[in-house]
Amino acid sequence: MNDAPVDFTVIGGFLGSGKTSLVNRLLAASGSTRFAVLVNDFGALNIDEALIRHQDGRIMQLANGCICCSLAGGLVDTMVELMRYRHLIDHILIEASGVSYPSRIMDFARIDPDLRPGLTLVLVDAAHLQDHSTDTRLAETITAQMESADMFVLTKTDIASADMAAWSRDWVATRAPDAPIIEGRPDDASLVALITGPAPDATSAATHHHHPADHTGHHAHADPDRALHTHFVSRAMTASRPVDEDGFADFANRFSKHLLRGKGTLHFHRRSAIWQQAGRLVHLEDATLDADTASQIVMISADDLSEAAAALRALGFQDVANVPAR
Amino acid sequence: MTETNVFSARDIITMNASRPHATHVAVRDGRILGAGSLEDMEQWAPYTLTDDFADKILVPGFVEGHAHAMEGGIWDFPYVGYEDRWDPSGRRWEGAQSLEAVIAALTAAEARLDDAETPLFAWGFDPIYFGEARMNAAQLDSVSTTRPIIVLHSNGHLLNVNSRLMDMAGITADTNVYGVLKDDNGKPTGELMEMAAKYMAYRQTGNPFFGGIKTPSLLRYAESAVNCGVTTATDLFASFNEESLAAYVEASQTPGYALRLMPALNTIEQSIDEGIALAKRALQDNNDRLHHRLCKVMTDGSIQGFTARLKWPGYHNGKPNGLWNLDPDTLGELVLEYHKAGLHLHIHTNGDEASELMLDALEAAQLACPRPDHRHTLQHCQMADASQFRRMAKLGVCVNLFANHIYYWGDQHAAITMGPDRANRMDAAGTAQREGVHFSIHSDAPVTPMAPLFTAWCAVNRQTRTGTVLGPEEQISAEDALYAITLGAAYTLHMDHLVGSIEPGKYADFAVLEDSPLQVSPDAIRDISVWGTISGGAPHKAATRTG
Ligand SMILES: [Zn+2]
Ligand SMILES: [Zn+2]
Repeated sequence: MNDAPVDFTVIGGFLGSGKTSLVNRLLAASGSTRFAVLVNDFGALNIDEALIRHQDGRIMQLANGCICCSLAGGLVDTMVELMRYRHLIDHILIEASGVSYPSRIMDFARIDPDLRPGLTLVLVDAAHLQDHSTDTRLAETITAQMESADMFVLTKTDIASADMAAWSRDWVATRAPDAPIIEGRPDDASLVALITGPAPDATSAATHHHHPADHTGHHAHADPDRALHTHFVSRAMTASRPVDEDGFADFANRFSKHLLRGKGTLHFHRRSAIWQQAGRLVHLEDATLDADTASQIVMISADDLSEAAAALRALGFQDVANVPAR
Repeated sequence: MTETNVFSARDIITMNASRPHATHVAVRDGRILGAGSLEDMEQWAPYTLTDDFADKILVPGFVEGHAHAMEGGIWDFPYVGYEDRWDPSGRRWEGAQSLEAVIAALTAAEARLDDAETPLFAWGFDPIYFGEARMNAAQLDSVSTTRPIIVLHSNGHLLNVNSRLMDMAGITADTNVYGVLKDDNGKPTGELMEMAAKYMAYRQTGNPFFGGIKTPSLLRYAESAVNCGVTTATDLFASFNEESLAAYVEASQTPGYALRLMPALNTIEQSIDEGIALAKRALQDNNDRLHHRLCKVMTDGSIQGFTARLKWPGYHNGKPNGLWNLDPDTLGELVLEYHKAGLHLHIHTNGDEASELMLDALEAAQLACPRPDHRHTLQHCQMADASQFRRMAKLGVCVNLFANHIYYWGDQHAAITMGPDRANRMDAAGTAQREGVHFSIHSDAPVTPMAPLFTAWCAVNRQTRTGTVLGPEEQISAEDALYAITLGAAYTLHMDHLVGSIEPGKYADFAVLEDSPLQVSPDAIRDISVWGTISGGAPHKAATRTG
C-alpha cells in the first residue's frame, strides 16, 4: 500500500486549445508513472482498444498502468470514486473544462492530505484568444485562468498569424507577468516532460550541462528527463555556505517567469528544505539533509537563465563547473 | 366486449374547447370514450356507472413537466426544511422553523439509527429564513459525536457537518481552502461550500444521492404523484445506465402503477454520439406508462446560489456572474446534434444570459436542420424578458416556468439576487401568454413539493412568502393556470395527443378534486383538497395525511 500523497495536476484552457492532445500524448509516454487522467469526453481520447485492460463504468484501466476516468458524473463524485483506487495511482491529472475555474479544482489537493498540489497548466489557443477575450460569456473564466495558472502554453502558433501569436503572447504576459509562457504543440514531448517529471536532479543536469554533445544521439522522447534537457536551457548551481532564506524566496518569485522547473536541496540558516518550482508554483518543504553536503539546485528555462544565475551568485551560489572537487 | 365504465362528477372540466364541461365521462380499455351528460352516455351502453365521485370535480390528470423521481427516494433521509412537507406515504414532516427545531429533528432521526457510526444525512435545510443565525458543528455535535453528520441545504450549494466528520476529513483551523467557512477565532464552523470541501465530506461517507434511479424510488414517486393529482411526470435529469433503464421498465410495468413516466436523459453523462444512441435505444422500452424521448441539457446554475448566468447588469448585490455547465460552444454543438437526431430537448436555463445562449443555439439548429414542431423547451427560464419570449414564439420553442420560486425565494430575488425590476418579471407567465409561447409551470420536486395546484396558485397570485405580490402584470387567470398544468405541460412534452385534456381517445387520466379551481377564489386554489387520481381508468386514492 502506497501512502505517499498522489500528485495532482490541473490542465486548463478553452475548447480547442489542445488539452486532449496533451492528455493523449501523456498517456502514451507515461513511463513508469501511473497516471489517472480525468477528462470531459472519453470518446475524444483515441485509446487503442487493445490497451484497455478493464473498464468499469466511467473508469478505464490501461495496460500501461494508467487510468482514464470520465468527468461526466461530476468532479466531486468522480474524485470520491477514484480515490478508492488511490493505491494504484501516482499522479492525478484533471482536464478542466474550458469554463471551470482551475484554482477551485486545485483546491481538491489543498484540502485533501492524500493529494499533493502540483502544477496548474493553462493552454492558450493563440489563433482564437482574441475572439475568446472579447466574448463576454467567457470573461470571468478567462480572468480566472490568467490568475490561477502556474504557467501557460501558447498552442496553435503554427496556425495563427505571426501578429496574432505575438498579440496573444502579449495579452497573456500583461495579465500574468510573472508566469512562464511556452510556445509549443500540445503533443510535444517536452510539454509532457514538464508534467511527468521526474523533476530533474542536480547531478543529471550537471552531466547534461557538461556534455552537450551527448544529446545528439538521444532524441528518443521516452525519457522525460532527457526531453526536458533537450528542449530547454538548464543550469545547475551549488552553494557551500548557508543560504539566506528570504533572499532565496525573493529570487524564486522574481524569476518565476523564467523557471519552468526548479529543484534543489537547500541549507538555510535555520532549516534545510527541498525546493521545487514550476513557474508560479513554489514549494519549499522542510527536509532533513546531510549537513556536510552543499546546497544544490538545478533550473530549467525556455529562455535565458543568465540573470537568474547572477541573482543566485549574489546569494552565494556558484556554477557547478566551478565547484572544487571533493 | 370489454367493459365500459362511466364516472359521474359534480363537474368535469375537460380542457377540450369543443366541450369544456361535462357531468359524465365514459372509459374503456383505459381510454376516454367521451364526456358529456348522462344521456350522452347511452351510446356506450351497457356500462357500469360509478357515482363515487358524484360530489367531486374531475379535471385532466395533472402533468408535471419538471420534477425528479428522487422525490420518491429522498424520504429515506430526514427532512429538515422550513415548511411542513408530506412524504409519499402521507406522513407529515414538520417544518423546522428555528435552528433548535432542526437539531431536535436530527436528534429524533439519530435515535432511529442502530450502530454508532452510520453516517446521518439530512436534506432541505434552509437557514435563509433564520436571519443571521448559522448552524455550526457544535450544535450538530449535540446530535452525535460518534457518527459523521451531513446536512444538505435546500439550495444545493452548502453542507453543514459535525466535528466527527471534520476529524475524519482532517479539516482544522489550519485548513485554508476556499469553501471551508470559519468563525472569528479562525475555527472551521462546519459549513462547507464549493466542490473541494464537498468532496472531502463525501470522501468520508460516500454520497448517498449519487447513482441512478431504483425501482422503489419510482414506485414511491408514483405515490407522491397520486397525492397531488399528477398522472404524468418527468424524471428530468436521468442517468441512462443499464440499472436505471431496467428500473423504469420494471416500475412502469408494475400492476397498478399510477403514473406515466417521462425520463429525460442527462446529456452530459456521456459523449454526444453515445447519448443519442442511448436515447434512441431507450425508445424500444416505451409502453403506455413509460415515454422516452426527452433529453436534458444543463446550461447554467441557480439564481439563489449565484451560479446562474446573468446578462448585464448581473447580480443585484454585485456578486460575480455565475457558471456555465459546459463550454458555450460545446452546449451549442450538443443542441444541434440532438436536434438533428430528432430527439426532444429540455434545457435548464435559469439566468437570462443562459436562455439567450440557448435561443441562439436553437436558432442555429433550426437553420441548419429545419424541424417543424420540435417543441424543445427551456426549463425554469426564470429571467427571460419579453424579447426572449418573442424569440421563443418565432422559433417554436416552449417554456416551463418555475412558478414556485416566486413564493419560496421571491423575497430574496427582489432584495438580493435580481433586484425589484427583474424580480417583478421573473417566471413571466403573463408575457409568455401575451407573446404566444406554449408554456407550463413546475415544482422541480424535490426542490419544492410537487403539487400542481400550489404551482398554479403561484402563477395566479405571484405572492411571496412574506405576502408581497411580485409583478401583478405577470399574473395569469385560474383558467390559464389550469391549462398550464394540464394541456400546456402536455404540449411541452409532446404528449398533448395522449394526455392533458378529457376527450375521446386520450388516456383516462384524471385528477379528482374536492373543489373546482375555477370556482374558488384565486387565493384559495392551493387549499383545494386532492382526493387522488384516476389513471388509465383506475382510481387511486391519495394517502391519508398523518402526523
Ligand atoms: Zn434545473
Ligand atoms: Zn430540476
